[in-house]
Amino acid sequence: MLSSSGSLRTRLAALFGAVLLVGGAIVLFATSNFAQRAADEAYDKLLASAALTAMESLSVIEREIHFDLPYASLDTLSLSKDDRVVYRLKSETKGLLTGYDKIPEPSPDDMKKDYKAGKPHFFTADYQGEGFRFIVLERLLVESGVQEKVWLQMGQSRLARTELARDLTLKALVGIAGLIVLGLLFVWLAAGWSLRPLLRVEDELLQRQPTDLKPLATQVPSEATHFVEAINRFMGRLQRNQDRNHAFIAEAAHQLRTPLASLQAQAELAAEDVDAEVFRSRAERIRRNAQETNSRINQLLSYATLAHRVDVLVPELILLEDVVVQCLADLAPLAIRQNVELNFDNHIGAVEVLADPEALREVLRNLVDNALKYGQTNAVKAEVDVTLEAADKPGWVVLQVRDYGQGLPEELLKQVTRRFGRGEFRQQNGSGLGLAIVEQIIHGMGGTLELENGVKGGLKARLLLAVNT
Amino acid sequence: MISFCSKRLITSKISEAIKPLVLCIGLLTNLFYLPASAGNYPAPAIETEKLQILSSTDESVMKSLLTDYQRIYPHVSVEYIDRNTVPLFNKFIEDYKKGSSSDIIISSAMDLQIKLVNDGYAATHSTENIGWVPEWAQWRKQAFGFTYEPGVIVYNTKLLAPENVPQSRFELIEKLRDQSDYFMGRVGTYDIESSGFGYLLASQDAQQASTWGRLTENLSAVKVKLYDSTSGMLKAIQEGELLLSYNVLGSYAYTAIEESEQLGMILPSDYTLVMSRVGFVSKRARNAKAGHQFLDYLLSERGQQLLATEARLYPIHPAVSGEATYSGLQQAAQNRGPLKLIKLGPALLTYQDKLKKGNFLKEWQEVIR
Repeated sequence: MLSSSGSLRTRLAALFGAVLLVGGAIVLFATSNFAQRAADEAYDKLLASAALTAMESLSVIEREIHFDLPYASLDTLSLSKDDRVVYRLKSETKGLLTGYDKIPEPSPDDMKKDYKAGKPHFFTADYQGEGFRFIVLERLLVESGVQEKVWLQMGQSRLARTELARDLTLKALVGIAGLIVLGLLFVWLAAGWSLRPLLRVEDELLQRQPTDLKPLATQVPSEATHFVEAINRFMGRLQRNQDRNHAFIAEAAHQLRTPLASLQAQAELAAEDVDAEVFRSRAERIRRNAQETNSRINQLLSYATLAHRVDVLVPELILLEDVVVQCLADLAPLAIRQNVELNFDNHIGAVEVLADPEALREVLRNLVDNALKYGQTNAVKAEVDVTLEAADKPGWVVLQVRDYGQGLPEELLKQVTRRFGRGEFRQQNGSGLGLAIVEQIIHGMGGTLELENGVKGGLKARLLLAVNT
Repeated sequence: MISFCSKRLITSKISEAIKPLVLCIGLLTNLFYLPASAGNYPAPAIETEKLQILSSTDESVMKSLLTDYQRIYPHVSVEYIDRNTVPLFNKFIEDYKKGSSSDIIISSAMDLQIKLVNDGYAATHSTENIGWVPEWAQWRKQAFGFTYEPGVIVYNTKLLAPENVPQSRFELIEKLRDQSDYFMGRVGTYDIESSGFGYLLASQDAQQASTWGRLTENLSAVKVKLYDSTSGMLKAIQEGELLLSYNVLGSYAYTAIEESEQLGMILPSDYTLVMSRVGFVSKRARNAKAGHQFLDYLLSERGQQLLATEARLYPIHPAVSGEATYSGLQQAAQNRGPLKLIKLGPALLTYQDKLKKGNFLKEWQEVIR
C-alpha cells in the first residue's frame, strides 16, 4: 500500500471552504453595515415625518410662539415599537420652550452643513445610557413683529433600528451559510467527478495482462494528459526493455548453443582419438573454441550492461577530456599486453558536454576495446589513436577512435550499428556486437556514431557530441 | 366610613331591556371613600422581605389580591400606599430622586405612567409568563396594562327618566343644551386639573372626536360639578345630588351598580374609551425582586381571576371569563359602538407636553369656569 499524502477531495474542500468562509465573513460584514444603514434610513424617514408633522403646528399668535404638539407626530413614532421618544423646542432668545432639557446637543457645524445642503440634521448620541437617533429641524419664524429661529429636536431610541438591522443581517447570514454548504457540497461532488478519468485509467491498468505494455487508450481531460503521457512513456521504456531482453535471450541462446554444441562434438571426437598429435590438436581447438565462447559470453554480458543503460541515462555536465583520459588509463594495461600504442590527442582543450559519464566511459571503452581486439589483424601499425577535435557542425565535437587494421567490409559498415538482426552476430566474430548498443547510447545522449574505413586502412569510429554552452 | 349596608339587601334586578349596559344594584360604599392612605399587610409567616406598592387603585379593591399574593409569598410583608394619580406621580419622582422608591407603581393615568417609563424610571420586566399579554397592553417590556376598563356615563335611575338617558355624546350634548335648566348643577365629571385619570380621558376625548369642544361648552352651561375621583361622583349620583356624570371609571361604576338600584351605566355608543391600569417596577426599587413578583402575580391567571371576581377591575387575561372582564366588556359593547382602546406607547406623551397641557388646561378653564 502506498502512503498517501491526504485526500484530494479533502484538500479541495478545505481550500474552497477557507475561501468561502473568508468571502462569507467579508460579505457578512458588508451586509451588517449595509443593514445598519438601511435600518437607519428607514427609521430616519419615520423620525423626519414625526418632526415635520410637529413643526407644522408651530405658529405665532399675538407675538407669542405657539406650539401644539400633534398627536400624530408621536403616534408616528409609536410605529417603531418599544422605542423611547424625546423632543424639545428651543428658540433663539427664549431657550427651551417645551420638551426635554437635558438631551444631547447637536454639533452646530454639522447642523449648518446639513441645512446648507437643504437636508434635516440627523445625529446619533447616547441619552441615559441608551443609544438614540436625533433629528433637528430649524425654522425661522417671521411673523407680525416676531423674527427668530426655533429648533425642534426629536429623538428616538434605537431598539427597532438595531432589531431590523439584526434581522436583515441574520437573513443574509442564513443565505451565506447556505451558499457555503452548497459550495462545499459542489466541490465534493466536482472533485469526485473530475477524478473519474483517473479512476478509468486505474481500471484500465488493473484489467491489463501483465505483458500488455501498450499505451493507455483511456481519454482523459487535458490536465491529466501529462500524467497519462508519463505513464505511457514509462510503459514504452518497459516495452523496449522487454523487447531487448527477449532479443537478447534469443540471441544469447543462439550464440551459446552453437559453440557449445561444437565444443561437445570436438570433445567427443577427441575422446575417440588415439593419436596423441591429433588429440593435442583437437584439445587446442577445444581450448580456442572455449576461449572464443568465453569472450562471447563476456560480450553478451557487457552488452546487457550497456543495453540497460540506454533507458536510464542520467546526464550531467562532464569534462570530456577527463572521461577520455580516465578510460584510456583503464585500458592501458590491455594495450601494453597486446603491444599496441594507445594515443590521445586533444585538439580543442577543455570541452564540457551534457552526458551520462558512466555510459560515455562504457562507450569509449567499447570502441577502444574493439580497436585493440579486432583492429590489429593485418595492421599497418600497432596503434590506436583517440582524438578530440571540433566537428564541422559548430557547437559539436568529434571524439574519434582509429585503428590501422583491415577495417570493415563496406557492406558491413552500415549493418554493424543496426539492431540485432538474425545472424548479425556471427558475421564479424562479435566485433559488431558492441557497436549496435554504442550507437543506441550515443543516440540517447543526442549524439551520433559514424563508422568509416581509413584511406590507408583501419577503422575510424567517430562520436559526434554537442558541446554544452 | 359611610355605610350603606342596608342597601345590600336589595338584590340585583338588571333591567332586561337595557341589559347588560345598565346594571342596577345596591351599593358598597367603602369604594367611595378615598383617603391618601397606607395599608400594612404583615407577612403571614416570618417576614423576610418587604414589598411597597405605590398605587392609584383603592386599597379596598386590591385587598383580596394582596392577601392572595401573600398566600403565595407568605414571607413578604406588603405596604400599600394609595394616592391619586397626580400626587402619586409627584411622590414617585421625589422618592426616586432621593435614591429609592416603592417597588411597583400602579396607576390608571396611563399617560403619566408612560411618561415615567419613557423617561427611564422603569426596570425591564422579562419573565416567561407575559407572553400572552397583547401588544397594546405593554410597552418596552416595562409598562404593563393589566385591566381593560371603560369610561362610561353613570346616571341615577330613579331621578333621570329613561327617555332622558343619553346613549351617546351627541345625545348628551343635545339634552344638556335642550334641557339646561333641568340639568343645571346636576351633572358631574372629572376635574382634569387635579385628576390625572380625568385628564387622560379628557385628552383622549379631545383627540378622538370633534364633540369635545361642544361637550365642554354644554357642560359649562349647566354648571358642571368637578370631582377628583370616580367614587366621589358615584356617591353624588347615589345621593341624588347629580343626575348623571360623564367619564366615570366603568370598573368602579360596575361594582357600585351591582350594589345599587339607583345607579345605571351607559357605554357611549359613538365610542367608548377603554383604559388600562398600568404597573411597572421602579428602576430604583428597594426590593425589585418582590416588585417583579407582584407584577407577575397581577398578570398571572390566578391574579387576573381575582381581579375579575373580587376587585371587579376587568382583567385582560383571555382565560378569565365573566362580565367584569375583557371578553365581558367586548360582548357588552358588541351591538353598541366601537371600543376605543387607549394603547400604551409614546403617543400618550403628546398631552403631557408642557405647552400642549398648558393650552389644553387653559382652554378647559376658560370654558368650564
